[in-house]
This record gives sequence, structure tokens and C-alpha cells, in this order.
Amino acid sequence: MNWNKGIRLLTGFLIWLPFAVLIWGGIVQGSQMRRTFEREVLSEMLRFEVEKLQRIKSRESSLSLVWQTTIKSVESVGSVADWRKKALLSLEEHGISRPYLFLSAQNEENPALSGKFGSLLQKLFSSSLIQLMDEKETIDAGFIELPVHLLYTMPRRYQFYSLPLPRNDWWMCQGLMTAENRQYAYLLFFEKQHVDWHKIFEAFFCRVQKELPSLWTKLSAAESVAWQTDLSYWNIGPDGIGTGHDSRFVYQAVNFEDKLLVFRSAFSNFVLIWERIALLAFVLLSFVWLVSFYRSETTAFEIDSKSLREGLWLFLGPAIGLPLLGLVLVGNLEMFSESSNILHRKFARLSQELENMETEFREYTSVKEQEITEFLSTRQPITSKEAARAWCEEANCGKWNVGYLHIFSATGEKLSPTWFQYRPSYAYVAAMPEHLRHWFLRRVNNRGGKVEQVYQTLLQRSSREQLTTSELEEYLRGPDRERIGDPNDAAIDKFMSGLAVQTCNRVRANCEVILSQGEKQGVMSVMAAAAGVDEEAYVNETVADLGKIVRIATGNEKFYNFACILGDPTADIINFVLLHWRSGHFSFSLVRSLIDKARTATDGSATYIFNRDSEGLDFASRAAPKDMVAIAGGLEATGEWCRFIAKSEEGIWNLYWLKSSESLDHLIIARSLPLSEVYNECGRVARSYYSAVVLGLVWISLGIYILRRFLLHPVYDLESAIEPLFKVGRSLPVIRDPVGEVLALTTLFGQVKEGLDQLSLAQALQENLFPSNRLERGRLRIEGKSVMMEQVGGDFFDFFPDPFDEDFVYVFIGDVTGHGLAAAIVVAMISSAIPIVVKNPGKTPDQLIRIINEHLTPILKRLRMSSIMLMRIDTRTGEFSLSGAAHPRLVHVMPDGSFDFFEMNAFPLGANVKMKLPSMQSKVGDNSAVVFYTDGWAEAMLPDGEMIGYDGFAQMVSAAIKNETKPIDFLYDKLEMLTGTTAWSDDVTIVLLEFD
Amino acid sequence: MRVLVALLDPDRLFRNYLAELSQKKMNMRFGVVEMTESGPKSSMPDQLLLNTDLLMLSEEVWRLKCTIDRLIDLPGRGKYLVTGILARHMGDVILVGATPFRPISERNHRTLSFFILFVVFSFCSAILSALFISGNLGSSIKRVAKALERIRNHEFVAILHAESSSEGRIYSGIRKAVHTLAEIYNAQPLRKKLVFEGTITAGCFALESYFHPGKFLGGDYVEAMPLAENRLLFCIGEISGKPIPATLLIARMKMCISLSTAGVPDSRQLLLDLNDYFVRDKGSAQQISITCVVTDESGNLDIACAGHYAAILLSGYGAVCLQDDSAPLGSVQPPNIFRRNILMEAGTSLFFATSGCLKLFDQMSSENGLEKFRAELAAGPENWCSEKLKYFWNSTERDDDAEASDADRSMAVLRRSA
Repeated sequence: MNWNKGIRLLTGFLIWLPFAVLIWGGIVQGSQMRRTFEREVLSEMLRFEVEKLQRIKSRESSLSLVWQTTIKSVESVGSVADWRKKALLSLEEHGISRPYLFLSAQNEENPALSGKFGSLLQKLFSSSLIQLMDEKETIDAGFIELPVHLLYTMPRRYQFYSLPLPRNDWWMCQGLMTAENRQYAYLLFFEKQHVDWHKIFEAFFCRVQKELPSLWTKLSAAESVAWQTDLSYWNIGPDGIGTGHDSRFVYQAVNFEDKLLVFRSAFSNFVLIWERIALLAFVLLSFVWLVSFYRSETTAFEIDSKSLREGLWLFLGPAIGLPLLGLVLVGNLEMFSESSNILHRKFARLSQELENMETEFREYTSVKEQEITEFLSTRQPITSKEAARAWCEEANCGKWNVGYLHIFSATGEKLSPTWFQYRPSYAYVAAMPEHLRHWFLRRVNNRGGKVEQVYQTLLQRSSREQLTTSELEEYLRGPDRERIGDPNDAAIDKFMSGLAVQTCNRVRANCEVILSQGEKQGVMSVMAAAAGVDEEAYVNETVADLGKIVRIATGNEKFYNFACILGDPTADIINFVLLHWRSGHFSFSLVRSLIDKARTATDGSATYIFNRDSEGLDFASRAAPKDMVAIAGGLEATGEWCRFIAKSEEGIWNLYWLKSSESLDHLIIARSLPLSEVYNECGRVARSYYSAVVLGLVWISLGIYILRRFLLHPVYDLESAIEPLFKVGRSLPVIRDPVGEVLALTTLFGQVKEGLDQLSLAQALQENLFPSNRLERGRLRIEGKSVMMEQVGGDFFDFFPDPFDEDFVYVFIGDVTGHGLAAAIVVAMISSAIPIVVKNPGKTPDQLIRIINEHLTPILKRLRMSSIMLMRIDTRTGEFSLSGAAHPRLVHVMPDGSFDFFEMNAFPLGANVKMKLPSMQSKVGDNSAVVFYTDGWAEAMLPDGEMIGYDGFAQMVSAAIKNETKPIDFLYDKLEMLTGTTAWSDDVTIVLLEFD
Repeated sequence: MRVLVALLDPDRLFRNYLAELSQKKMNMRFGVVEMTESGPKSSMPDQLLLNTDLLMLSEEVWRLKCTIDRLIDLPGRGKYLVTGILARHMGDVILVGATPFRPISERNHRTLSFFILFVVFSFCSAILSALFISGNLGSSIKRVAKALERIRNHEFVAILHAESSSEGRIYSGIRKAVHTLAEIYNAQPLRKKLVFEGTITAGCFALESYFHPGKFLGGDYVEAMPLAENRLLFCIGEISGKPIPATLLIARMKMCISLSTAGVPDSRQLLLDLNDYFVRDKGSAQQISITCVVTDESGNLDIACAGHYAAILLSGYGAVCLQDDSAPLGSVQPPNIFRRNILMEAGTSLFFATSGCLKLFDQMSSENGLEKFRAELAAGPENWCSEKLKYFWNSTERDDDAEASDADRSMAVLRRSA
């Protein structure tokens, strides 16, 4: 590389650099934006898996999962004893050593596998374990002393509970299973210290990995650190959930035990392909750019389609290509950042919709409160149970879905009847097919709920007893709703009575009604003390919340109460009225209306409402993903939320946003939106982007068309015109739309073509002037050859017998000054004149030349002159007469290869009319040769800039004559070899005269 | 055994932690809120608890036990994205981090603006490149135009000797074309020497010859040379076929005729010699239509004609075409040469013209042109005196058509003086 090219390359580099930096930035930014969008989508998808895992990653869940796996793996075994044995073995294999498993079929008389827990196992068949609340018995099984009432607090079947007992800590699980076509209740115990959590985790991981295909690996602490350092992005949140990505995958990781479980999902191939194409385009354009600068010397944009194409490709290509690439990158960047925004907007929309639902919940409570208040304001205080019953008939059977309506007098007398609680969700399920009713019952029981007899009867009836809505209402209003014999009712009535008395008194006191001291004390004090409630605080709260719907939480149960004093506090007769709802029933009608409303949505959105209440129903306007209930159940704190992307049961990918409701905290509300909505909006952005790119391409195509139409085509046409210009017999093509310079060039080339064709004819004519065959006469052999620099030239030669004596032969050679057509004219004149003048008898060569000169000089008038050498030689003896003018000396080559010269010094023909010409008489020796030649031989330029020279030529020719059989051909080949070309700068002629 | 007892000051610990965090994340602000069951107890910096939004955020994080992000308008600072994190392992504290809120759309639009600038810059570069290319093209086109102009002005040497570091195929084609044209035009002076132009007088005859060469040389041949005995040899003829080969043949003919004038040649024999030398054995590729006239002192003309256009004899009796049935040399063998001897009276003129000249009178047909020429001569013989003839000839040379004419034009007048 020379300095010039180096500087050009450096210039190109310096101009290219800002483009390169910008475009590289564009590629990186665009790629990151695209990856960001994909990462967001993929990580939200993985988030669903993580959320699922989060819900089951507790130790209890891990054990449940292992136990369920065990049940499934050994369920096909024959007898129940074998089943138990294998199940225990399986548990030990999974890391639970020394488990205790007790089984008993329902009403089994002598259960062999029940141990000391026979009676307890029978109770597990019951639909509710609430009855165990009052059990005082403690079962001493040797290895454990189990207070039976503890099972009341562990009502969920198949769920592992931690039993903190005085001697040891145990894990316990109860449930039902089927073996030998019979249903068995079982109890499983194992000590906490006998659990190998490592093995449990392994089993858990294997099981989970089958269900969650995106779960990739588990990493130890050290491995996870090493792995995280290889990621291009990694962020771990305080909840132990991390997100990260590298060039190929998006990762979601979650802490589990001392391990890190990693989920992953691959970026789509489109991202990778796009990045590679962008990179390739960048490299190619940059390469072309730099090469163009490097080669700018050879691409000077001459009017030449090749260099134009090259120039357009080299300069205009990158100049258009790089901005186009920039446009594509910008569009891509904008498109995917907008896509990312769209995704966030959609999630924000879901969040907003959930907030709207929260508002509706609050309004619902407020409206309900108002309705009840208005209703009660129309009522007069009552004193009789009949009046209260009539009122309850009206208000306590579906109106506002009230569960209980308690009416007490100011003295604490209960006026309202004791009915089973009205449960709208049960009424709703009662209208369902049998299998759904049974599923519901099982669900309530498994959750530890209690189903009252009136509903047990309703839900357990056969399919044939399908009830209509009116029949159902009639049944619920019928005699079965009377609750008789429930031991709790009396206690509750006493408590409520006390509360009624206290509340009425407090209200009257506020109205300055004087109360007797004894009235302040009531049964409530005792009950409140038993229930661990501070009586004073409870009464105060009740008084403060009179006329309001308030939420009350006791243990796992949540209720809503509305308390009020019916009547004027200053009057004699007032009633304490309390409306009571289970939380699930309180919101039932609202939930249904919201779901019904959501079902009308046409955009694919859906609403899901999950109920924490054991008797509550989960509602969804569309099928939810399989494990969404579990995830919803995991949102424990009020206001806690999660979001993810998951595939619904219908096979549609949706965005989901779940939130634990703040206004109705027993509900988990969720909204979903099809992911296709995001892609549709992205598609709109993409379409505008593609339109811009297409417009850009159209614009560039138009530019290219214009360049082709008005630049490349005319130039190509001209080139097409040039190509046949120098080829004989080829006609010029018709040029499209010749105008301006093109027209001038077209005309010029037409003329030149005509001239060249004529020169070709002239060439043929001139060649006819020279002898084409060798002449052999006597002992003489003559042959010659002439190669013209142009089509026609200024060299000439000829040899022919003397017309008066055939033993003599004339040989002549000459060289007209200049070359080309003008010289050819002179050649035509001289070469025509010699055969004519030799017809003058008795003239010597010098006389003949003189005659020619006398006629030639007045014509040429020194415009051209010519050298000449004319010999008349005796073919028998080799004696010759020679005359010449201004021609290179002849080379006389001896038989031994030595040579001498015959030189004739005189002015050339055409210089003067009268001229003195030298002549000589001599003889060619035997086996000798005489070489006539023109100065083209001696003055041929060698590659080193030197000429061959006359002596050099003489040596060359003597060697050729001595050694070669075809010396003339050899000499021409050698001349080509020496000069490296056949395009010599002068005509080259040689005549070889050999004398034997 | 050594025991290191560190009395840690939680406040200092948090401050150090925050300082370290702030160093790592220059664009973020950090704070810590210490929480108790009854609400926030203290904060670092203290201003955290003075902002209601931040306070509420801290309480919410504490209540929900989860990370919460909020967009909060901090007085005097603008919108900040604030994250509250429950730092479980640091006791009952909430970590609060705030970073200036730059919505993604805003950030993208800044990026977009940046790229729009880039695109504009790129298009400017494209335009500059286009200008650069068009500039180069323009200079190249100018170069071609200049070359064409020089070709029109016959300045071939300037083009051929112009230095060029690079040239496209078209320009190299032009150079080649110029080379060819130069070769042809360089032959023009010599070509003109082959044709007699001007006036020559021998005895009682005066010959005026006018010649205009065609673009690519031509096939016209006019010869006039004085002979012994006050005689004049005058030949006028045309070679058929392409002009350049014709020129070469003319050169040979001229030499041949010149060499034949040693004595007093016989006009017919001269044509026979030409036939023998040049066309007899060459087929009919080139034909020579020629008229050869030899004058003597007494006013006699020995005219031999081989297919050339008839001479027009202009006398006091009018203008007469001297028609014959001869044929051009080379068209038939033996040649059909018509020979006649006429005696020209004083004051008469004999007009000879080649086809190029006759087309001045009728562009479509030389025969018609001859007749029109004769008619014009007959109509106004006074218009064809030497001066007017010269004027006429010069006017035809100035004509634009003459410049573009491919064919030679020749006219000769042999006038008999008193």
C-alpha cells in the first residue's frame, strides 16, 4: 500500500467512523429494545411458573407433593396391607424415615392397620372435623400422644401440618384414599428429625421439573454465583426471585432451600436472525465503504457503465444503504420500545381495572349499607316473636344474601327464630349438576368447612331431584331451615343477648336515659371472657359501628355484620338488630354480577374472582390456567399482587394480574387480557414501520430507476456502440433516445465506424500490394512480411522478376515517414510506380529511384518522404546492383553467421526533385543472405526503455538465419517476446533474401 | 484466643451502607426508614419522613411485606421513581431508593431524536456523496463534451496527447475514434495534393478546377499537367466504392499517369493502361469512371471517356452534353472507352463535373443534376465566367451541407481563349 492509498483509507475511516459508531449504537440499542420486549414477555411467562413454584415451595407443600407422588406410584398394588407397606417404603426412599401410617375403612369392625387410632379414623370420614373441637381425649399410641381436638385445627385433607407436641415435633397428614375398591381414612405421622430434606428436595425437584418444562436447573450457592457472573443482566429482588438473561435465554430464578432453581426460556430465533442480519449489513456496508475509499483512484466516475456501477455501488451504495440501515434500526428501535410500552400499558390497564373493581366493591358495601338503613328506617320496633318471624321471612331469605338476622329486645330477649344460615353460594351450587355439587361438598370438606344439614340434603340429592329456582326457594323457606339442637346456638344467643343489652344500654346512655346498675351486667361478660374478647372494647366497637357494615375476622373465618338499634333510643321499645354474613356470601351477588359483566367482553378480557372463604366459590368469566387458583391462594397479604403471562385452559396466552383485594379482603381478584392484544397493537406499530421502510425502498428504487434510465442505460448504449466500433463487420447498434452529448457521440461513432470499415478495405488493398508468397528463382529465395502499426501503414516491400530478363529480380523495401493512412497513400504511389518504371529498359536502380522521385516530389511537396532500398540481383550469380535513399543499411549475413552491412546514404524520396543517389555493385556470397528491414525492428522499445538497436537486430537476425528454419516467423515471435507486446509503435517489415 | 468485640452503631452502619450504595449508583438516592409496629420510628435522611408520599410508601411496604414502586413527585426535585424494599435481613427497616423518573417513551424519544439527527446526517452525507458523484460525472461529461468540440474543430492532437490518469471505456473509445479520425484527417492534405485545384493554362486553353474534399477523403480525381508542345493533359474521374480505398487507388493512378507523361500520351491508351494496371484483374470492386483530355495548340481536344458524366460544351449555340455510351473502367473487359476529337472554338467552354458536384443541382440524381446544370449553363452562360464560377463554388463550400458532405465535389472548366 502506498502512502496515497493509505491516506485515502484513513480519510474513509475517519468519515466512516461516526457512521459506524451511530449505526453500531443503533444495532445495539435496537437489539436491546427488541430483547427487552421479548425479555419482558418471556420473563412474565416464566413468572407464572415461578409463582406456581412459590406456592408449593413451602416444606408442607413439598411433603404433600412427595406424598401425592407416593400415593399415585403405589395405588395399583393389590391389598391395602401391601399398599401400606410399599407406601412406607416409598416414603423412606424419598427421605422420610420411620413414618407411621394408619388406615381404616369406613365402619370397619376390626381394623388391623389402624393402631390406636381406629375411632379417630372413623371420624375422619365425616364431612367436617368441627365436631372434634370439643374432644378432650388424647390418644397415646406409644410413639405419640395426640390430643384429638388438635385435628379440629388441621381440617384440610392431604395437607401436612406441623404438630408441635411436648416430646417431639411431628408432621401429620390425614385424608381419604381408595384401595381394594374401598375408601380408607388414613393418618400419617413422622418425626421432623427423621426427614432428609435433601432427598425430599430431590424428589420435589424431579416432580416439579416434569410439570414445569421451563424449569431448567438447580444450582448450589457457589454454582449460582459463577452462573450469575456469566449473565449479561441479573437482578434479584428482595423476595428471592431473580431475573436475568444472556444472549440466548431469559432466566427466572427462585431460592429454594439452599439452592437456586432456575427457569429459562429461549429468545426467539427472529431476534438472533435480525441481530445477525443487521451486523452483516453493517460489516458489508462498512467494508464496501472502506474499500471504495481505498479504490477511489480506480473509480473516478468516468462515463463508463462499469466504473459508474462500481462507483454507485461503492459510494452511493453505502451512502444510501447506511441511512436505510439507520432507518431500519430507528424503526426497529421505536417499534420495539413501543411494543414494550404497549405491554406495560396493557398490564397497567389490568391493574387499573382491578382498582376499578376495588372501587365497585367499596360502592357495593356502601350501597348495601344504605339500602339496609333505608329498609330499617321504615320498620317499627317489635316485641313479639311472631312479628320478628314475619320480618325474618321477608328479610332473611335471599334479601341482601343475609346469613343471619338477629333481632333482640332491649332486655336481651331473642325475638328472631333460629334458622340455618342462608348461603347463596350453596343455593347457586344446588342448581348445578350432581357431579359439581359433590365436587363442591368435597371441596368445602377438604377445606375444613362445615356444611349444615339443610344444605347437605340439598346438595346430596340425586340428579333426578333437580329443583327449579322456585322449588329451591320454597325448600329454603321450608321447615328444614329450623335449626334445633345445635349446642352452639344457645351460647351464641346468650352472647348476642348480652351484646344487645349492652349496646342498647350504651345507646340509651348516650341519649341520657338513666339505666339501672343491674342492667349493665349481663351474660355477655361470661361469654366474652370465654371467647377471650374484651367485652368493653367489643361493645364500644359495636356501638361505634352501628349502622355500618363492618368486617370481623375471627381465626380463619371472616364475617360481615351490620348492627343497628331499631326505634327511638328514648322510647321504651327498641330492638337490637344484627345482620350477619359469611364473607363469601356477602360478596356473592356482586361477584356474580361482575363475572356476568365480564362475560360480555368482546376483547378477550376476563375477570377471575377467587374466594378465600371455605364456602366461597371461585368465579371466572373465562377458563383460567390450571394452577391459577394455587397462585391466587398464595396472595396472603391484603393488596399483594402478582402478574404474569400464562396459557389459559383454552390454549390462549393471556396477561394476568392478580391482586388480593383491599376492600373485600376475602377475595383475590384478577383480570386477564389476551397477549394477542399486545401483538395486535405491536402489529399496528410494525405496519407503520414497514410502510416507512417500504416507502424508503420505493424512494431508493425510484432513484435507482432514474439512475438506470438516464445514466446507466445511455452509457451502456454508448459502450455497446464502442464495442463493435473496432470489429470489422459488426454494425453499430441503435441507441435509445440519443440526445445531447449522447447524440454527438452516436454520430461520431457512426462516422468512425464508417472510417474504420473503409480503413479495413484500405488495409486489404495495401496488403495486396505486397507479395504474399516467397519467390524462388535460380539460387535465390526471397520472402517478406510486414506488420502494420495501424490498419494501413508506411512500410512497403516487393520483389518481382525483371520484365526484360527473368534471371534478374528486383527487390525493394521502403518506409514512408509517419504511419497510418497518409503514409499508406505514399506507399500506394511508390509501390505502384516501381513496377511501372522498371519497364524502362537499361535503367539502373539509382536511375529508377531518381525517376520515381522526380514524379513523386511535386506531388508530396515534402508532406511525406520515404526511404527506399532497391536491388536488382542476378539469381544465378548473386551479383547485384543496389541503390537506396535514407533507408537502414542492409544486413549481409555470411554462412558462418557473421554479418556486414550494405549502406546507402542519401536524402529520402520526396525531399528534393533532383537528388544524388548512391549505388553499388556487389555480390551475395554463397549460402549467404541479405536482410532488408525497416527501422521498426531496430527502434522497437524493450521494457527497460532501451531500443533493440541496429547492431542488436543484426545479431538477432544473423542468429535466426543460421539456426532457424523459418527465420522470419522466429524473428517476429522474438520481437514480441522481447517487447512483451504486438502493439509496436511503428510498422515492422522484413524481407529476407537468401542465396544458395 | 482473641475475641474481637465490635460495638456497632446501627445509625453509622446504615449511613455507611447508604454512602457505599450512593457511590455505586450515582444517579440514585437512597434512604432507610426504621419501622416499628406503631409506625415509622426514624429515617435517614430525616426528610424521608417529612414527605407524606414517602411515608405512606414506607408504611405500605411494611404492611404488605413486599417491594413497592411508586411514582412520587418530590418537591423541588421533580418526578422520581421510588422503590421501597423491606430489608428483612437488616432488621425492621425499609430501604428507599429513588431515581429520576424518565418514562421509557421519553427516553426513546430522546433516542429517536438522536437517530433522526443521525438519519438527517446520513441523508446529508448521501446528498454530498451524490453531489460528489455528480460533480465527477459532470466533469467527466464536460471532458467528453470538450473532446467532441475538439473533434469538431479537428484538434485531434490535443485529445490524443491529453494526460489522463484514468479513463472510462467511453472516453477510451473516444480516444480511439479520435485516433482514427486523426489518421483520416491527417491524410487530407496529402489527399488534396492528389487532386488538381486551381488554374492552368496551356496554349489556347485555360483550365479551372474546383475541388471540395469529402469528410472521409473521397473518390474524385482531377489531374492537369502540361505536356510538351504546349499541350495539356486533363483527367477528371471518380472511383466507385468507399472513399479511403478510392483515395489509395487515386494515389496509384496519379503516379501512373504522371509516369506516363514523358511524351505525348494517347488519351485512350492512357485509360487502357489504367485499366490494365489497376482494375483489369481486380473484379468489379472498384470502378474508375474517368475522362481524359489532351489538348493541342490548335484548339483540338482528344477526349477519351470511360463512363464518366458527359462534359457540357458551352458555346454561342448553347449548352450541349457530350453524351457517349462508354462504361467505367473495371465494369467491363475489355474496357468500353469512347474517344472523340473535337475542335473548340474560341470562347467556348467545356464543363466537367463529378457526381458530388452534380448533386448540388439535384440531390436525388446525378443524371438529373447534369441536366439541370446544363440547363443553368444554357440559361445564363454569363453566370459561369471564371469570377462567378469561383463565387458560386465558394458559396457552396460555405453551405452547412458541404461541411457534412461525405462525398468529394469536383468541377473543372476548360476554356478556349481567342
